[in-house]
Amino acid sequence: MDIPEILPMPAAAIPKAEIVVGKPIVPERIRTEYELSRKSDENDGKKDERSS
Amino acid sequence: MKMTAKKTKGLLERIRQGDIFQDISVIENIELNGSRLLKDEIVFPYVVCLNQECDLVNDFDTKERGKDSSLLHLAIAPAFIFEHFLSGSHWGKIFINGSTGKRSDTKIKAIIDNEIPRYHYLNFAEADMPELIIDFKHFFSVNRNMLYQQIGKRLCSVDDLFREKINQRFSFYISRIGLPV
Repeated sequence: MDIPEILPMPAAAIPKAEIVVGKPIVPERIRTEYELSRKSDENDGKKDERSS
Repeated sequence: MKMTAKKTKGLLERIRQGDIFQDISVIENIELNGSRLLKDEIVFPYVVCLNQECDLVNDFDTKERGKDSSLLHLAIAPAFIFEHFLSGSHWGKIFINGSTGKRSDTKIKAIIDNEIPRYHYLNFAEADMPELIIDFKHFFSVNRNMLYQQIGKRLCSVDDLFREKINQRFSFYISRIGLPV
């Protein structure tokens, strides 16, 4: 499996998050729907390629 | 009030044990329904990294990813705003509201003193951090690379002794002997 490298970043360049006032502060369950394009049909019937 | 956490002065490039992130999602399910792909996730306002520190060091220092000292997933536990915990609403709509409590209650005092193994109360020395509580009954994993890609969501690293305390208490709680009910 090809695992992408995480590029080294100087610590100072790492953005630091700050607490955002007004955003939800309890866990939230979210469902997102994506419409797949027809191109994916081209893969129908093809063998699933998995690393052994 | 008793201080139970302190931020480190700086941040490292790598993720550290006890790092607190904001708005991290955990994928619950991905389902293909005809031509629609449905993704269910829970977004947690705050999560704490529970991995062992030297595992994180070895993972980050590994020159070649794919060696078995690399980590695939990182362990995280959600942390809740303590005021929401007191009102029983800390899980939002995910679980029904839990029991409520006041700071003056004996049980809540014990939680604040970190005397109840299931919970870890975090009261930061810094005023810009809210009071948080970790419930060790709930923990998840997130893909290592996905969390590194979201490193900009890291609020802070927790100072050495305090982060080690989190993990010691987590491992104590998770390794408790289960007795038949």
